[in-house]
Amino acid sequence: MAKTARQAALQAACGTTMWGVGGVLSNVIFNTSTASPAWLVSMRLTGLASL
Amino acid sequence: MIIYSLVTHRPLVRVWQQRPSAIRLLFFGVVGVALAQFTYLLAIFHGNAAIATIMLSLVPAMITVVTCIRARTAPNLIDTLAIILALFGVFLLVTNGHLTQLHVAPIAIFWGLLAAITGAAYTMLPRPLLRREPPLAIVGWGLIIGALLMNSIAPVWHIPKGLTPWTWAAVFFIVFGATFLAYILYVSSLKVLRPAIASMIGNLEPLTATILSILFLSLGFHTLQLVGIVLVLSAVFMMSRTPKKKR
Repeated sequence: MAKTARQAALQAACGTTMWGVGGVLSNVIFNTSTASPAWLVSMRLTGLASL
Repeated sequence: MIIYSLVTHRPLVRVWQQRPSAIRLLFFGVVGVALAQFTYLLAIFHGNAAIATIMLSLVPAMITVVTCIRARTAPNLIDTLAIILALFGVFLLVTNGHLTQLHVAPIAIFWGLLAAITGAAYTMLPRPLLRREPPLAIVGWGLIIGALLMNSIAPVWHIPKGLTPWTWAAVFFIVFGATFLAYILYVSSLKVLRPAIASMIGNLEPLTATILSILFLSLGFHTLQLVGIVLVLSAVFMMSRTPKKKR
């Protein structure tokens, strides 16, 4: 059970860290290209909806 | 969604058959999905990732305030203290303690606050629908509505200039890693973890964004701004420890 809780904590940590990394990568994309927030949202939602 | 419907024999279009449910679902797709994402990325665009994610930490405080207003009850002591702490933290973050001076672009603060409001809508709007319909149907329809709306504003086939293979890799990671996989990892952990622990771990999002922004985007924070960040994260932790029945 302890191992399961540790695994779940690790999963949650990976998930939330990836959210944070995603935010910073969005920042990098805006700084280095002409991509707009609207286009990136379109990509994000279209990609997810197609799943 | 189609595979899920075929396997479980659960109707995916039933939610559209009743007018109030259909209106709420439409509202969820537009405000809770599309606008929540759009305002968050606008906050990053006009400010930075650290500011945007910290402003998003106001979502639990927003949900508590709206819940109390709707129930016509005052928040309990811990929630009240947490809300005050979160607001004071954001105040320190955007002003660095100076009443007459902003250290963050006002437009970034505006979009950050709107991202927190629409983030709260993402949690609150689908609740009545989830009592009757499978979560996959609600989230799936919300994504489809959001994707259609955003594609009418900025179609995915209008490729921006300046995208290198590395930035394409970043886009791919944002869509499938930082959204899809991250969500699956976090939600699956909730089956085992107590909400308080999960919420505390959830603080890693603004922390990661802040640390990476300092390291890779050369972002600097003053001492009082860092104190503000700690106060906001502490407020989130305090609210996650509040007994559920009082929320």
